[in-house]
Amino acid sequence: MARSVESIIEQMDAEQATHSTLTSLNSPSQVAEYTLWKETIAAQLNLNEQLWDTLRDEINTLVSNTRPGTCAWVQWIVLQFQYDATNPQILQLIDLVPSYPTVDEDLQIITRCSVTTDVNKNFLIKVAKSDPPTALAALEYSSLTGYLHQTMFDGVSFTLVSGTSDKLYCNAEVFYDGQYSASIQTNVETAINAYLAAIPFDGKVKVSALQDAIQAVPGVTDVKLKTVKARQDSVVLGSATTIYDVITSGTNALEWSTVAGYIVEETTVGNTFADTITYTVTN
Amino acid sequence: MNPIYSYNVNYVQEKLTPPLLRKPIRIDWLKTLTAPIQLKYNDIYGTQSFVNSFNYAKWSSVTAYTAGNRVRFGISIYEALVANTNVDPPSDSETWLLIEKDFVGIDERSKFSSQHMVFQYVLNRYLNTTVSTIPQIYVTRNTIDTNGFYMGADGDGTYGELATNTGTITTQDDFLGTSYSLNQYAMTIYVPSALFLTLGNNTVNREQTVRNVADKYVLAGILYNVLTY
Repeated sequence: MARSVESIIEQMDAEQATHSTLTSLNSPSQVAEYTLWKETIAAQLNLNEQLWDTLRDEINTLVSNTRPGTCAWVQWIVLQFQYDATNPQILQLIDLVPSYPTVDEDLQIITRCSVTTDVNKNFLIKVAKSDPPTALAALEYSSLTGYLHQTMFDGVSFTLVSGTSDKLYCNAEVFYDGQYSASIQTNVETAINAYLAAIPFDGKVKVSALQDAIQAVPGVTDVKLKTVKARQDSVVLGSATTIYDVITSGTNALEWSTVAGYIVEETTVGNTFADTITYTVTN
Repeated sequence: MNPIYSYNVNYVQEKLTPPLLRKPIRIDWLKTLTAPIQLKYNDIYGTQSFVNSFNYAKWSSVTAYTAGNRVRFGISIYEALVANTNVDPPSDSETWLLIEKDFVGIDERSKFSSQHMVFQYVLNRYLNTTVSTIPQIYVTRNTIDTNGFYMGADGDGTYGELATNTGTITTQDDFLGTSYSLNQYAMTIYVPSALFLTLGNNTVNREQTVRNVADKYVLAGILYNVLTY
């Protein structure tokens, strides 16, 4: 990785020390001309090394993504998918490679994708579009399915999932410094939503991280989680999975693997964070 | 390596300086300013480099390192910025500089795949310090039980369930016995027990170390397991 400007100057100093011809360049001045030359060149070399890092990362990604058939390759293929509601995007064999005649990044609607092996000879693809992520519309989904049938290997099947976001129910009591009364609720809800949004696609909600996110809000002095539940969108709240409960905490999983790949706060009436998180002043 | 990429800072400084100005002090000064370029060139194209692989010794918690020493930690290469002992390279960026994320050069990596011979080589290359001609880590192809035994999960035949011997469907255990097994893995990676113990601090982490390498090359849709021998 790129060395710091200071490290590069240190190397120049070491090189200089090996040349007896340069012993006269020993001014202690911070603005000595030879010192400024070193700093100027070192700053440029630092920039150059950062560019090398970027190039190497791109090469590494390229090598990884072009290894046909692996999960990383499938993910790369999915992200190349193009959709246009009025101008159908049709794959063609170009130099024996299934490709679009015109690559248009504006039509590459998939923003999130994870690929995992499900059971033998089958893998699971989870996708979402837009940012923040949302499920694909029916036509987009069927178009992507057709695209994948053309590009995946025969003999290996796949399951494509693009679901509406999972939902998180959180019943908790937040204790806070009274000076923050005006903003505490908004800030806590923002912090939880920011945590949920930051979970990697197809990642897990962790109760410990949820608690940390709340406690990190300025003004919060303590938080007592009572019940945390999660569900996929098609499951009703009454059947949601309890991932933490203060009564039965020893038997809860304490984490939730997202089914749709991403998760937001519970949306049913009376069960949003605004409804289920209470606030108590502690002075 | 293509010689067109060769770069020698000493040669270049002398040749690029106009003949009348080729005095030792000028040449030495230019060498001083451009010495870092030579180091970067070596890291990218040299005998130990991004292109041609690094081959430094593994980091040791008992070795005293001095500034400039390089080590391999996991699959990454680090350089000591200051003298230190028992400082985990990834844990302190003030002490260690990450030189390269993957010690295997891009020339070699670009040929890696899950072809049987290549895949065994890859596993031994990453997980074993000495790669012998007879792989110490080896891979077997397995027959998958695609036609599983089906029976009612609750004993009344209402629901079809693939038979397992996990004990979750007790009626199957009663019928088949606990020795019944249904192989679902298309292949198995066998790791020597002694080597496996060096791959992490517990069984889960050790297996994950193996999977971190294997998952880059195994085809999507192929299940495998990791066993020791």
